[in-house]
This record gives sequence, C-alpha cells and structure tokens, in this order.
Amino acid sequence: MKIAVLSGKGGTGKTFVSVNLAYIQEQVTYIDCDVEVPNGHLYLPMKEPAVQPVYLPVPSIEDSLCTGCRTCIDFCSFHALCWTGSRILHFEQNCHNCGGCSIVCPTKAISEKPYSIGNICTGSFEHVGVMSGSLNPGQMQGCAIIRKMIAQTRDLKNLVLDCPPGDSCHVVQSILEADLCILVTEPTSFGASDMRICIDLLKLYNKPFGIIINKSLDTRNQIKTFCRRHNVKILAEIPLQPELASLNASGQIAAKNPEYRRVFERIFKNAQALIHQQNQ
Amino acid sequence: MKQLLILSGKGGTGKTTIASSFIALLHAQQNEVCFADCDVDVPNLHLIFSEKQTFLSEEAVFRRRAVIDQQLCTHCGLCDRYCRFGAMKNGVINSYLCQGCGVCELVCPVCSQEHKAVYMVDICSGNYRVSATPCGTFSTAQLRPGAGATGKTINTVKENLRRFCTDTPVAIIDGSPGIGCPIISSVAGVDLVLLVLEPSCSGLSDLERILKTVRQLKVPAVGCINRVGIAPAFEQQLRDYCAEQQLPILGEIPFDPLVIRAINHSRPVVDYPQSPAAKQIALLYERAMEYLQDLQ
Repeated sequence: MKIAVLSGKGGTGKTFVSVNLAYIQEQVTYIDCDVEVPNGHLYLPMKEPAVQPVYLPVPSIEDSLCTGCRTCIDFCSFHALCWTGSRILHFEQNCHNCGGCSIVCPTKAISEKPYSIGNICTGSFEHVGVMSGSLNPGQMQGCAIIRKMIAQTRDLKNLVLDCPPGDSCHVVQSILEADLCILVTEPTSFGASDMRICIDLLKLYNKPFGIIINKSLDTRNQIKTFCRRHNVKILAEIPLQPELASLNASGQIAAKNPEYRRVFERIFKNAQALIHQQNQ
Repeated sequence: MKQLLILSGKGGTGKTTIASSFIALLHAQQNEVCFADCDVDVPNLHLIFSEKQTFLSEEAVFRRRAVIDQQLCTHCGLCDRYCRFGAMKNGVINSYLCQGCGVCELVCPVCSQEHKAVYMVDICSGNYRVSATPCGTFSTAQLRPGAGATGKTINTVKENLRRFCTDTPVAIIDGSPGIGCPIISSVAGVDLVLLVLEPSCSGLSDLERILKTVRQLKVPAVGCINRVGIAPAFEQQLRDYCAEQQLPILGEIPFDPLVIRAINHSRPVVDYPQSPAAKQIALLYERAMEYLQDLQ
C-alpha cells in the first residue's frame, strides 16, 4: 500500500506519523518528500547512504551566436532573461528550467547545461528502506526531486510518503500515486482550517483519506465535530503526552515501545480497512 | 516602511502566534499598523484578525495554464515529451503541476485558426485581499485548493502593503514554512527576518537550512526559541548553534498551554496577561522593534 501523509499546517506530526507507520511494516520504504526541510532521516538514520545528485538543465548562452533578436525574452514566462544592450543576461532565481528559450532561439545560441539543485539519499534503517530528497538552499524546483524519487520507487508495493506542509505543487506531486492519504491535524482552529483546505485538495484527486488527530487535548475538539458532520473517517487520536513529545523531539522511534507500537498498528489496520471499503 | 518577516523553516513552530501578538502589541502602541500573511497556501492569520473587517480591495489572482483542445489534438505526444513538470500525461493536463511556461504550446504541431491544440490561458486561481481590521490594514490572498502560491502571488501580497499603507512605519509579515520558492519571494526586500526556533532535532536541522537561505539573500536575521522547557538538551544546542552562527537570540518563550486556548478563541496570546508565554513575547517584541529601528 502506498500511503501519503500530509497535513496542511506545519508541525502537526507528519514525520512523527510517517516514520512510525513505516517502522511497524515489513518490506516498506519511507520517502521524505519534504525536500525543502527533510527530517525523516533524523529518525531513520541511514548507514552509508547512496547519494545521487539531482540535476536540472539551465540555459547557457553563447554570446557570439546571439543576434539580439530577443525571441527568448519574449517567450520566457518567468522573466528570467533580460537584454543588457549588448547581451542576454540569465537570472537563475527566476528560471523554472522549462527549456523554452533554447527551443525558440533561431540561431541556436542557447544550449542547456546540467546544474545540481540537490540530492537524493538512499539507504536503510533496520528493516525500513529510506529515501530522502534534499533541495539546496536558494533553489526552487523541489518538485523535480520528488518526481525523481517517485519514479525510482514506482515498482515498490509498500511506501510511506512524508509530504511537505501546505497544498503546493510539492504536495500534489507527492500524493499523485498514493493509494491512501492520511491527514495529520491538531485540534486548534489553525489545524482545522488547514485540514479543510487539504480535504478539498484530496477530493479533487478522488483520494481515499483518513484523519489522525495528534496532540489531542480533552477540551472541545472542533476536528471531531467537523469529521462527524462531513462523514470523514478518524483513524486515530493521539493524546498530547510529555513523554511522547520528548521522545519525538530527540529523534526516537516511538513505535519501539510496545504501547506506542500498538497505536500505529491500529492506524495501519484502520487504513487498510478504509481502502478495502473504498474498493467495494 | 520597515518590514519584519517571521519565518521558521520547520512548520508549526509558532510563526502565526508570534506574528499575531506583535500586531496586537503594535496596535496597542500606535494607530497605524499594517500586516500581511504570506503563507497563502494555508493561511491562518485571518482567523485572528478577520472579525469586523471591511474589504478595501479584492483582485483576482491569475495564473497562466495550458489547456488542450481535444478536437484538434492528434495525441502525437510531443507536449508530453517536452514538459519538464510532469504535467502532461496521455493528452490530459494536470493543471496543478503545470507551471505555465508555454513550451507545450510552442512544440505543438497542430493549429486551428484561433489557437494550437495545446494553448495557454490565464485562469483565476483565487483573490488578493486587502482589508481594514480593528488592528490595522491586512493584506493576504485566498487561493483555490492546490493552486499553489507562486513568487508573484507573494510579491503582490507584499506590494499591496506598500500600496495601501504609505505612512505606516512598521509592517509585520507572517511567512510560510520551508526554504523554497514562496520563502525566497517573501524574504526579498524585507528589512529583518525573525526566525522562530523549536528545540528538537528537526528544529535544529531546519534552522541550518533556513539560515543559509536567508543569508544567501543578504537579509539580516535574528532568532527566538519557542516552547522552552520541553527539551532542555536541544535548547542548549540551539543556543550554541546560534552563538556559533552569530544569530542573536532576542527571546525565549516558555511552553504554555494558554497559547492553544488563545488560538482556539481567535485571539493573540498577549490578550492573556497571566500567560507566561505572553510576557516573554512582549519582551521579544520590544527587543525586535529596537533591533529593527537600529538597522541602517
């Protein structure tokens, strides 16, 4: 089963849920799709990981061939090229690496050269396969790294995809091939609002999904009310516990403790049931 | 106008809690306050300040997207081959992955009198909003699910602050987590970045990445440690790392359950004077404002 874990709001416990949910499974691979700030590898440290750099093509302009026609500037949707009066200047900050400028150039003055934007680390922690993407600070095309990780693990059966917060293209890219999505939320008005945005996104993609209420308190819980009203399945409610918080803060796998292991086994079982239900 | 941007790298460290308190404290001291929410994918600041607001401006957010005319399309697959964003698959466009570059239209060999089989259109993906709230002028954007904030969206939200608040001395901007595209756009042009740090192994690792990003953009940064008292070992590691990196720590805010209650009542936590966190945030505010004023 390919499970994507997302949240909308940051810091609700996506990585906490993802690493533990991977740890209780056999023959599973954990993929950290939060390539801007990956943290899964802190919980699932790899011994001697294989590091593969990720390259994107960036335009390289041969001034001697450029006639100054500015076709490339007119084409570029991202204002990444400009004319200085004597030559074309390329702004890497704006470039989306679409390759359009090298196609439109009538004198073939623009070619592309590979540029490293980050890397993918592959390895394992105990019985869990681990893949962790990392975008270099200052770079913007994190989607390319996520796409590459997903392409390389397409044939694997069991995946846990740890998504970034928000509902950006990074999240869309991460959930595309998931069988099931788990939304981790916290019982605050911020958590509820961001959860609703993510539910709308998952509905657009027709993805089966369930909710985990993390850091749950005894007080009035607007998440439960919302889920009841909208017929959304709650997979688990994890109470706010100082012990769990400090375990997690220090990068420990909570599921190594039998009591917490049961919590994640139940989540996994509920998730399986949800897919089963969906397939009927 | 001096702009203070609140960022974190890691999500859920308390950006909006601190931003909302700063706005309330600024409002208590002077009349003209303006603020913006640059976390437009999953905005939260409006949950605290939308009460009794009146809209000053609402403009559509447009994004350039490819569409396919299925009557013309011959399924030659050229657009699929040239698209670098994985947005084309078997003659169907995933508009959430489409970046609007126009390469598919460029390479499409089929053309009618009006357009090619794949062509670009501007679609509305949400609204920019500027409103007058009891605490001051508020600029934000509301996007459709999955629309995704672009650098342009963030720039416009910030530009709207300047457009509507010409005489305001200080602007507070709430940022989004991560280090990518929206963050780079939100950092560009601000005067000071306040990093909200979380004492945990993830918080420490993410600090390294966000600090590198902010420093590449040559904007001065200061920090504060939130939820102090839960993981003392990591608090010390954060302090050591900040000292090593010469990142001034302007305050330490204790873990305080009242913060959650304040959020759930749509109030900034500084409205609860008995809250230990509120006291420290007020101190942090004083120091941050001083730091901002002393900047050249």
